[in-house]
Amino acid sequence: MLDYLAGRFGQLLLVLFGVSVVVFVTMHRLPGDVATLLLGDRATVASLARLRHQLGLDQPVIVQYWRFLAGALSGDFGTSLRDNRPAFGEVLGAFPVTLELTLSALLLAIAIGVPLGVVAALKEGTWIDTAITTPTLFGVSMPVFWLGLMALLLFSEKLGWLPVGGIMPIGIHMARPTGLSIVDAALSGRAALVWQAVLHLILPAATLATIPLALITRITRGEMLASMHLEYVRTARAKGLPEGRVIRAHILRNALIPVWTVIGLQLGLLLSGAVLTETIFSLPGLGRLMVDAILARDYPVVQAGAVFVATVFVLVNLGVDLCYAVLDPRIRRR
Amino acid sequence: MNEPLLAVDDLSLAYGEVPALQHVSLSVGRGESLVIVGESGSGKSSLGLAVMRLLPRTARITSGAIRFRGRDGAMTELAAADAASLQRLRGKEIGMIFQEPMTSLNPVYRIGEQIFEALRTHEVLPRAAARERAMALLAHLGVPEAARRMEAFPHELSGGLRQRVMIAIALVCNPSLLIADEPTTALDVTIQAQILELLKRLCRERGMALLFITHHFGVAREVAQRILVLYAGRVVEVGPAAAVIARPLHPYTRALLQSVPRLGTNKNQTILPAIGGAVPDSAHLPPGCAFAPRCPAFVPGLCDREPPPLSAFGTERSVRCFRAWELAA
Repeated sequence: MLDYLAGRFGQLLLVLFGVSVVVFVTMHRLPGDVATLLLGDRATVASLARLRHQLGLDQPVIVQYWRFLAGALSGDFGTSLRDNRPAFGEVLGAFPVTLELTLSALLLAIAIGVPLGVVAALKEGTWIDTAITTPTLFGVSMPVFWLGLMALLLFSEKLGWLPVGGIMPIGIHMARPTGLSIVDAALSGRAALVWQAVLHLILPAATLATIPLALITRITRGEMLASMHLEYVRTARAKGLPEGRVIRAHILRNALIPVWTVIGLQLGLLLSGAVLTETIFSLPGLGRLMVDAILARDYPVVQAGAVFVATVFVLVNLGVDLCYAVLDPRIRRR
Repeated sequence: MNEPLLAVDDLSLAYGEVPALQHVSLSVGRGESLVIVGESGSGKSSLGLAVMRLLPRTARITSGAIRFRGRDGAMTELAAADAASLQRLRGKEIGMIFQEPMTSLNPVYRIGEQIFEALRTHEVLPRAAARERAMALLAHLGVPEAARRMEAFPHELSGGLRQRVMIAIALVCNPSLLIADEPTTALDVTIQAQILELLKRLCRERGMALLFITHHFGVAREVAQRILVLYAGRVVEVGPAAAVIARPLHPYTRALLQSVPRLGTNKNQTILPAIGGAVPDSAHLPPGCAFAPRCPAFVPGLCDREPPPLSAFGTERSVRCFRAWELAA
């Protein structure tokens, strides 16, 4: 087990190295540099050169990479070229928003998707099955930005039930020790704030949940159907177990192992930033931070973000793999 | 004979339009072992599953009754029983073991849990007592280090041990009937012999009846008191095991027996006789005797007109062949 973990951490280092090289090279090959963007129309050749020198952009790429790497190893990714704040701090500040959004979307998708999949499988071939599986087809193929906009139009604009965007009503300030708006609101001890935090989360979470929800429903249904006719299910019935227990403890329990793969993959994907959803609902999350930073050629923030996202992705995958061992004893190691 | 424990009466079942069993009747007395012998496609597994009412959804019982005498003396008509009464009988009064011990256990639960589950479904007893009983049973079934095996997962056990675990699951509530569907087919020959020995011993000790399903006459002769031969969904011969084996009445039974290799006999014979042809397609049975196309004793005009009836031969035997008397003479 320790060997396994050590191996996985070795992998993590390799992935991070690869990511840093790729991001670094890509960013430097992009046309237009930060100096031009920062100085804008009033730039002169001399002022551009001075700024480039200040930022170290006149050094050979390999030297710049070495500086970046040395800094990164000590946790310093440099300061944002836009506002001079530590780049890694910006990333850490944006992450909780993404984390909260991702977790609520995924929990929503699991809480609805798994039961729907189970029902569809149990009612295979009936109108109930069709009523569940047909919308999931739309779910996986629906463009998120369109769905988000429609939801905004309906629930915020027309009906006025839910806020238009952001994480809190404008003008309300609260301490943000964790960065997770619901947790922070709860810590502030004001119930009204918790309610506001939840209200602000509903639309983005529901929008972000559509694709995972549709996927989870379809996979759960398929896996249920596949394990329904297995021989150990017959054994369970031969024991005289009530049908409910056969379904829960023998069919669903085993069907959930592959469903977990989908959940794990989605978790990794969503955590790297739900750019569209964050943009539509004006949430200051990781995805939006990264896009803004890329457009502004803000290398330090992009690099810090990329390394952070890669780390999260690898760690989430490791977590998912470790959970497999709990779910499926066959792959458990000594 | 005393009143049978299980009486199948004129049972017919079909998968869609294709018949799997046609007018099958049989009975198993208390403590008796009846072996059903047949090739693949003969309907023998469907018969076992029909008694448990565990047939796949596509199967339909089209006629007949399956009566089972419960421990309380009440008779249940299994073919028409509702889910609740079936659940009460399954695992408690009728146990079943299957051919594939590899896939018949749920891979994600420990052995102990899978045995408890059966026990605790039917009996209210504290966890520790259930554990104790499951462990004692495993030990009794010849599972070495039973306490440690209780914590094992199915994939950590050999095929023979897994089949012993399956037997433990089937027996933990002391059923009065055990249905064993080819329980030794997937096992090595030596393990096969051990499991057969074990089943015989258990039936003796517990006075448990056995409905044993196999394609193999060698296995049948090990455990059977009575033998029933099934061909293309019909009973072709039934009788006491010793008599059927010593003097088979139906040409099919005879052919099956000849295809079993025996140690020490026919030293000069290098090729084992096999039955020519294949089991007919159940959807298109020949108009006469179903075995006629493969039968060495086939007589045109007699065997291919209409199916022969199952007729009594002496007091204890029955056979479905027009020429049985002539051939036996």
